[in-house]
Amino acid sequence: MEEKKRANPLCVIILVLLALIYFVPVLMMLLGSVKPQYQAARFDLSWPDEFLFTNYAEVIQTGKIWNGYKNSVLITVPATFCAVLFGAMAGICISRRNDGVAKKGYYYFIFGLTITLQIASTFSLLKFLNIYGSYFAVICLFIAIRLPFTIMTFCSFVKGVPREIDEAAIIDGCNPLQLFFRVLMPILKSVTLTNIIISAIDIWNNFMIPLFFLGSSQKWTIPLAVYNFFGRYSREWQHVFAVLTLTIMPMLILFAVLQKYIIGGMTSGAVKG
Amino acid sequence: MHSQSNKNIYPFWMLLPALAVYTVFTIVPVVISIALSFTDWNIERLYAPEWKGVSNFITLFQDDIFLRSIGNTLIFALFTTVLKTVGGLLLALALYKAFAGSGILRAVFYAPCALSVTVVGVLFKSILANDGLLNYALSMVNLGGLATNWLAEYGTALGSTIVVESWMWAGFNMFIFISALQAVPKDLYEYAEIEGASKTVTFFKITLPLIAPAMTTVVTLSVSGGLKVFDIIYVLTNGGPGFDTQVLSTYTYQSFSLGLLGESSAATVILSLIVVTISFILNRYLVEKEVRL
Amino acid sequence: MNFCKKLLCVAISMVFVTASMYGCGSQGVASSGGNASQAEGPVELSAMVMQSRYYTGLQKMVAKLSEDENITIDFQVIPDDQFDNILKMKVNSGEAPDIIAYNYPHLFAQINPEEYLVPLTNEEWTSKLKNPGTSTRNGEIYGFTFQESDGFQGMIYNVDVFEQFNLKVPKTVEELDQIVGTLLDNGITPIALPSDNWVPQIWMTSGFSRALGTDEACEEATNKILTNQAVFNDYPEFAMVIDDYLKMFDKGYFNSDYLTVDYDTVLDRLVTGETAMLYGATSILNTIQSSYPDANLEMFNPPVSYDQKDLLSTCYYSFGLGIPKTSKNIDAVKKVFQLWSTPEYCDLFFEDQPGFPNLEGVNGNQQQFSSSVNEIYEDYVGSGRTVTEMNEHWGTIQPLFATKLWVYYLEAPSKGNMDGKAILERFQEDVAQYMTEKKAEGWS
Repeated sequence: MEEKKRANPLCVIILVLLALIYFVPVLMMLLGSVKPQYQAARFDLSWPDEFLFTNYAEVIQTGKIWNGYKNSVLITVPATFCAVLFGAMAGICISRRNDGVAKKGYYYFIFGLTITLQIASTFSLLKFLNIYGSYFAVICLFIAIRLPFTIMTFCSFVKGVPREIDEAAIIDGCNPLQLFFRVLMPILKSVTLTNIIISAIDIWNNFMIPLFFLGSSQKWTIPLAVYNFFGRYSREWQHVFAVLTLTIMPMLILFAVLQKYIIGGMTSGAVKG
Repeated sequence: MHSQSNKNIYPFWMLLPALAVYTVFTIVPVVISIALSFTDWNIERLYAPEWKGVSNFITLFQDDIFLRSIGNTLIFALFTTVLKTVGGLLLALALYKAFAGSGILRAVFYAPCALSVTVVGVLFKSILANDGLLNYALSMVNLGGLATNWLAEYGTALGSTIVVESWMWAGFNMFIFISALQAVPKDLYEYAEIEGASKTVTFFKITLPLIAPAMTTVVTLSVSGGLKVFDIIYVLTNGGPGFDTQVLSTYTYQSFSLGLLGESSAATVILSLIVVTISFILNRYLVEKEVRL
Repeated sequence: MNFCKKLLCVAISMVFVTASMYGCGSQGVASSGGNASQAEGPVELSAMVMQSRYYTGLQKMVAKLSEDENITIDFQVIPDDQFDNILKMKVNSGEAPDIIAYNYPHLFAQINPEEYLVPLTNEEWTSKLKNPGTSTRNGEIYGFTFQESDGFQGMIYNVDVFEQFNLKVPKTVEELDQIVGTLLDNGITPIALPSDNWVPQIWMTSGFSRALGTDEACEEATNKILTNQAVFNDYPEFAMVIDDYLKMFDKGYFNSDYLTVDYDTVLDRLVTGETAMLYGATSILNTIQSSYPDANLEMFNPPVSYDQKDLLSTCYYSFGLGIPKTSKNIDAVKKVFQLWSTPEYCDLFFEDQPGFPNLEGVNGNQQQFSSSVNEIYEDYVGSGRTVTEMNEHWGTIQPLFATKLWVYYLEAPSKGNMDGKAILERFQEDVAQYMTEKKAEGWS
């Protein structure tokens, strides 16, 4: 699909320079995470006086890092899975039916893109449902937040898939479930992977929802671990940097592994009624 | 006939899980907020709100800081949308054809939106500080005169948040544009070249109309995201200096943290109204334009 | 249609049931480690604390407890600016943990102790308290407080810088002005001011009390203001203190980047001598010394124009722990407090951070204090020339400080748009709205 070409050298130079500037903050964090305390506190791009990989060892020992990872995985994986699965089902259904009800349904979901987090009323709701503080509540909240975008992208992507494929499958005796999982999902692989990445990153990094709606720190996710090092009186920046690096690393790796699929997955004509 | 078979092939229950979770966990809290925005709901009387009519809304519109935050929200949404869209499109145009290293470059430009906002806040606060990296870099290239305390003044503080937000999300939009650009049939370009069309003409007459749907997506997402902005302001300026860069979401959050839940809900309702109205009008307009192109 | 509705109900409940099974399942996984060892009889307690108050001393006590007694305390470390929200939400809805760590009596401004906290007056250790006042409300003690008081507020200065320019501790406002002049001539920032707004406000909270002169006067003014019988500007002293502080900006007392520079950076500047002074408190001095052991710092009580009697503003509060009534482990927590009241545990609290212990027999490690701290303490406390800082009296409206009043303190000098009177007028409106919504006495 993509053939390698020689690009305009001037253009490449500009891009590389821009990329370097883009990368400065991340570089600052990476370097800072292996510096000694006095040097990390300076917040610059200087080369570490000595490489202290022990910073990582220290935060892993004290900062509840593993527990944070475990909780983040326990929340991110099912939430992402359900958001993409439910979103795909709904998106396909809405886009294929394409009647009045489906259109209303579409706008009903898209409305969600405009909603901000309602901390107090969500809190009351969770208390009322008696699920406050559980993984379940937080997972559901994340699914609900991710659904509008997922449905929007699936809807528009499905439009590009010829209807004849579905009809042929039904004539061959597929039921809706088989049609969905055996026929359509493989075709929709790239949009699915794209949504997985975007949802996973969003859920992994979110700290307001776990902070407000997870009861005990035993259940806290990795972005909250950093607060163990953010003291008012003794801010150990080298440790903060190390935790920050550990926080975003899994998502950067996930992104690097899956990024080539994103290209095909973002789709045109998304927000179409 | 056709729609009948449609109903069998794509049964309604496929919608149900999404509908259920979304309704309970997104719509219900919104409805609760709307209802309670007319009460004196307070954190100390969590279960005993009393009807108060529209007085919360009146209080809000009498508050200068609230009015100012509406203005800031609109400015922020406008500028970030322009920057994110144009930036994303330019990056996409430069990178949609693969060349050696293009994958790495794409990854670098996308990476900022994979960072958590906490990280972004910590890093940029230090970069933008008086003795931070940016001022240092400016003095290195003999532009020391431009150096300033970026987050200390309204203009530069709001400007900084706009730039950082765009830095985070331009790469995300780049990917949307790249996929749209790659879907443009190559023979159209060849045809244009044979016809002797200049690059500018090709771009405006062929590329732009064909990626118009992607443009709609990007603009709509950017505008609604910009109007809803919370975390980047929260971590960079926290509404400061003073209350200068307060936006609607941070304003809402502040009255929430004082325990004034009724007032906070009223502010959310106003915010939602603004976001819904603007996003939908804009979306309608863009979709119509798409059709005409 | 009816069928659809039914179907919807069934589907929703199915989603819930299956998903909640997952939820329980994963919770089971998460806590299975704990359950397995529960057979041997360990106790697990939950607690919440602000990130900035999760002191190493406290961590040591928790660690020792889990080693010696098999009692583990799981501290949720919550970001400072979210703590009050989460605390109030949890307490008001019955979701509070077993232990709340907070400053006393500030905690009483956030939650009503009589309604939500377990009274501890009958506990054995309360007889050993030097100052039960900070944790007492209407005759009952509601908390385990570590310190007798948190020391006092004063100017921290870099001794090396003072010696280099041959400066002496100022006794009068004129002398302070001269020192500032000398420092400015030599390119040194006289006094550090960070954007963290709890630092600049120290000028006011100490100043108000010093200007009013006695604790009784402060209390009387506060009671009238908080019950809507008087307004801030009925007491000209308040505006005077703020104007005095604002004038210092014109005189070049402070660093110019006070709107953005953070607390850590400011400490660094003080230690390296880039800045000569910082108006802080004994607890701040301690923490600087524990992160910069080589720093050569001392303290003095800064002379101000509105206080002719030369009073010392004391921090009448203490870090402490309370038990919410909803806790299911009240007896276990009480046992922990009993253990922690012994020097064996409580000494650990002061090991890295010297202070004034509240319990008899506990070593506060005061020899680690800078010599001036002990001298000032003896001088002023000995002769009774102390007043309690104003924030203690304004407890109820404490939630408005960091989001409103303290923001004005930084906004006014940067914009030059308000004087002391205007700031207080503006804050009066905030107080009126807040108290009315709270339905406080006198405000309906």
